[in-house]
Amino acid sequence: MRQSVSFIALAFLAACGSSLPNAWEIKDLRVIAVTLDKPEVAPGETVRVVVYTDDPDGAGRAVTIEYGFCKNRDASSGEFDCVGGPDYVVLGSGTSVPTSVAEISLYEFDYTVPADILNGKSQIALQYGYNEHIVVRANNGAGVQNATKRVVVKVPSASPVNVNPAFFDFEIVRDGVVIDAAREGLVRGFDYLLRPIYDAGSLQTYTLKDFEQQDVTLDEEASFVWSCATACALDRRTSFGNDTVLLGTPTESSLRSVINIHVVMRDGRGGQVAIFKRFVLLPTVSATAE
Amino acid sequence: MRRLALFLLVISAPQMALAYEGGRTEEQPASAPVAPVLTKPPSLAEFAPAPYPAARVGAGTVVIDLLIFIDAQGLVTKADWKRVGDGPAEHEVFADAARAAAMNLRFTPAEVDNKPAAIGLEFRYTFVDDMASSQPSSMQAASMDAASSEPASQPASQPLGRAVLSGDVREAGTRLRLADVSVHVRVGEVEADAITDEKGRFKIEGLPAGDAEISFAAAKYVKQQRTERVDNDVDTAVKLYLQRERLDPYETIVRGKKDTPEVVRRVISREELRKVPGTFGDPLRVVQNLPGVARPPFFSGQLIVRGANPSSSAIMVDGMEIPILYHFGAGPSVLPERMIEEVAFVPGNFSSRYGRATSGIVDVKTRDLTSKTVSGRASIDIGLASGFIEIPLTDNTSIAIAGRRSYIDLVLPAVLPRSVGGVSNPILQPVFWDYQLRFVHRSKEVGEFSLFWFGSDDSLRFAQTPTQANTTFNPADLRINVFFHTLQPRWVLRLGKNIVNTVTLAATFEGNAARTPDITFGIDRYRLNLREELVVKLSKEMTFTAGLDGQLDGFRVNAKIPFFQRFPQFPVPGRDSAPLRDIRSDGVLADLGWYSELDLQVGKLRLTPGIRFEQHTWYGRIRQSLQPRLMGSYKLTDDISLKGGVGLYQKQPEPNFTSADIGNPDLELESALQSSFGGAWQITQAISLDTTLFFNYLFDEPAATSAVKLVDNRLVPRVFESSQIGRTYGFELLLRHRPYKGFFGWIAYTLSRSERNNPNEKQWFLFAFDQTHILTLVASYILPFNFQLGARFRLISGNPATPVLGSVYDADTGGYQRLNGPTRSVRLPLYHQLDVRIDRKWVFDLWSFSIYLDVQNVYNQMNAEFFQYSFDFSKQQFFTSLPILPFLGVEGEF
Repeated sequence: MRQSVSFIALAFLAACGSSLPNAWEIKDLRVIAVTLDKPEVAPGETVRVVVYTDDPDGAGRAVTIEYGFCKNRDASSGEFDCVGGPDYVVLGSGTSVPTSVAEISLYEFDYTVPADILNGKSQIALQYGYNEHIVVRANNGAGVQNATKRVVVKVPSASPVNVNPAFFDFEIVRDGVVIDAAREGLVRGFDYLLRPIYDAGSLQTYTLKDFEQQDVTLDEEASFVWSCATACALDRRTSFGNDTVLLGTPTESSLRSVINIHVVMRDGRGGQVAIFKRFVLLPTVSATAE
Repeated sequence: MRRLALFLLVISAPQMALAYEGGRTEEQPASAPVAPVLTKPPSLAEFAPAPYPAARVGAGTVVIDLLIFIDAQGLVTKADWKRVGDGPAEHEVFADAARAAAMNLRFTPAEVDNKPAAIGLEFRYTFVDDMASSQPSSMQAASMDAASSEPASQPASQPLGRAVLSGDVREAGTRLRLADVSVHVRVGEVEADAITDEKGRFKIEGLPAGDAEISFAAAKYVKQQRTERVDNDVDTAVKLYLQRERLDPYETIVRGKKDTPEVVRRVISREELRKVPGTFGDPLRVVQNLPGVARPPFFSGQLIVRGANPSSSAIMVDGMEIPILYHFGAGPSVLPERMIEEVAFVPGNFSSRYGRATSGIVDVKTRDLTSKTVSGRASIDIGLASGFIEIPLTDNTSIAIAGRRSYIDLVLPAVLPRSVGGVSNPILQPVFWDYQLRFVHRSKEVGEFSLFWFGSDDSLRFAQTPTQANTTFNPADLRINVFFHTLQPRWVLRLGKNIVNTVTLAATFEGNAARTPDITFGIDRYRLNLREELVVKLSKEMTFTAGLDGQLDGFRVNAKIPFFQRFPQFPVPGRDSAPLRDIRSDGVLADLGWYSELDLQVGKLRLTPGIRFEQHTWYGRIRQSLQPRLMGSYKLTDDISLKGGVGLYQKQPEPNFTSADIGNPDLELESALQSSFGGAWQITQAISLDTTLFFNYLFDEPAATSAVKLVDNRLVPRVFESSQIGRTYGFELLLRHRPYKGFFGWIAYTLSRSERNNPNEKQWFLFAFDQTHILTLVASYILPFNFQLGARFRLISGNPATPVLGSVYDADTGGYQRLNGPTRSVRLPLYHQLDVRIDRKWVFDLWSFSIYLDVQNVYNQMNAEFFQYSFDFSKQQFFTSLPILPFLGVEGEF
């Protein structure tokens, strides 16, 4: 009997949350996205890299971006321990520039994949390709955020060419109706549904050879990583396809009058596009009066 | 002229000399003197009269005291005359007659630790020349009339009437028939005495009519009196239930010799299993409180023995491996305590008769079924209903049936919120049930035949209320089902005085299935296990054991699962899911073992060399191994002995490692070279101390690898390689008070270290559950008024953990990757917890009722189970174990 009781107790306790911060709420400096103009390249090609950061408490202070890569990597999966270590090679640095959304800044740089990058790599790398790790370090003077983005290096390149997905916007739904939040603002303490708007036709079909040397056809898949700043709540960090995400806006207790919402679309093959929007927060009272 | 030979049976347990049969086990280290408990005295089943020697007619009453020895079947193997001093020489002819007659006596088997056992006892023949004028005493009246087998009694004075008083005396609550209860009757001025026979019956004839004042008295029972009207020519029947003075199942200790060759073998009885606080009444979790066993992670039932992986230990039921141990992996064990007689735990250097394990062995012995009355138990609470019944079909045949069914699935939706923040809350709905049926038939002709049929079924699903379906994944679509059904017949046949053959078969059908709309996984297994064992007692000092231990494991996999390893470049940057792969395969894994062992006693030295040969077959690969093992002990004194053992132990890697689909079938057998050395001291009959030093070297353990190999010009991922080695060493101490006079308990301490090394780490690092110090105190005491109070305290080093140095945002996945420090180079804080349990039992004539309170973590210590990190690993906190939790329960028994 005690067995079952304890089992119930466990079920209860397992459901209890922790006091740790949620990933979707941005309070301090955060690298939100690192995008490439083309996710897959051949050796010697150059990619345009854009680093987006949000610094909610920064009050417009500069964010310094340092970038480099990890050398001596020969695994096709991610290895992250090079950051700050001897295998980390710094290529450059600079200061990010503000975007149209306050507190969010970006930094762009070109990265040329070494022409001899595959020399000396393993048979797997030569046969299947290699993921080059671009490393970014963002510093706002109060803290440092590390980030990495992989560039798929293949010979020959994929056909058709691997491109980023077409991600346009996200709509905001209240009580089943799409609202113009950019004009109307969002009411404090209310729940809204967020739904991404993208071109499903931009998701590509591609072919890989598996270990059996068989061609396997796969489809890119749309996933979205959401975050917001600040004092807000999301019911999930990642959504897929046309799934909606539930947003809880800051309550009256929040001193901020605006909310930033960020979403990064990924296609599952290295392609990604980031969108950021800012909305004015309205008092709960005025919404109730309506 | 009629002559009588009367008897007096004397059982004085502490003085008994016991001789065990092979295979009887004790909790003590193998070479230590042990202190078994006489749980059921023998009683006379068939009296053999001794004729009054014709040559001595007229010699009057002569008393001959014998010391007789009976075997585990109740047959007399030897009868000696207990001659006082020189003894009257003329009595030798009486002694000869008594010894000859005694060899034809039959007893119900005595039980030691609830198992039939050989035993020695005193037995008295009283030769009465019925021409003599003396009358039988009341003790004589207790004797059995051999001709009629009816209980006899006689008024102390001459018969004055024709009234008859007969009765049936039983124990309250259990309804067990009570023998040797003294019955005194007084009707007016007439008094009479009787003693109940083995069936608890008595009969007194020749009483005058009137009100009979009857008193009943027996040792350890509350004396009772009552008045009944008796009339001439009427047999007045009374039925009485005697209450025990104290509900103490641990009354008697009997010393016997050791009989197990293993360096350490610890046996826990059913009563102990039930009463250890904090174990949820779970028999297998009690083992986790013994030396050499690490505290498992949060609420897990894993058995981590001497720093080895949980899968390296084997848990068996009557020598056969059990498919599933716990419901849902960590819930209640699939075997209820009622179906278990005892649990034996061997932490290492076990006998050659055991295989498929490189660490420890837990052998669960199923219930003996020796109850003479129908008995049962039922309990019900908010989450689980269970029932058990044992029915003796004949004197030699019994059957027991038990079953449990949870209904947590009904409770949780009623108490948990259906939605949180406007979003439906998927509520876990676990359902499990299990059943057991055990049949036992014992006879002199066929030996013991038993059948154990048991099974379990676990289902897990989520209830989703349709408040807002805003995702493509609906938890309600998830289904998990795990089940098994096992039929296990066993036949123990004595082929001669010194040869015992045991054959056990286990046929198991096991299924695991999980599915979502996209992903399915199903594996069905059809397993056949056979153990054939022959034990030959070559001489008093030498026993030879040989056996076959085989397993055929047919499996069928039908799955559609994500499979990253299919593509060398996976994970493709940013891909959230691996491509699904259809896996449909079947096959047979064969594992055959042959073993032999010689148990040799040379003076104070006992040596047990053994050898085990195994052949494993999987996916066309054959692995053979020869595993020599040696155990030994040396008796320094009657109470102190040294012991030691060394041996090679090997097992097939778990199927997920050797799978041709998701693992590497080219792996080697996992191996361990075990050694241990220690000493044992039987301090008193109830208290013992044993200590053990151990060192185990592990090799060919599977370790994950990213390496590939070229096969037929194709790159094939190796996934795993037999490249990990390990070393575990330490010291164990157990100071134990066996159940005796209402108390049991132990102090268990383990000092150990367990490390691993593999090509990934390239250096020694701590095993995930390495715990330097493990101290466990367990005590339980029976108080007056049918209360029992128990406590368990544990003080254990925290598990090792790998520190986090920082993190990197992975823009391809949106998550953060931790940057690790040296592997498992820090520890969680010290773990300590006190659990308390109190029981109260009410005993009625026909049944009993119990209520208990088991309080876990009495002083609400927030013990750290593991680190919990924020999304970016910048903050950390402890995930703590359960807070103070009181559990109240009730149960009824009859």
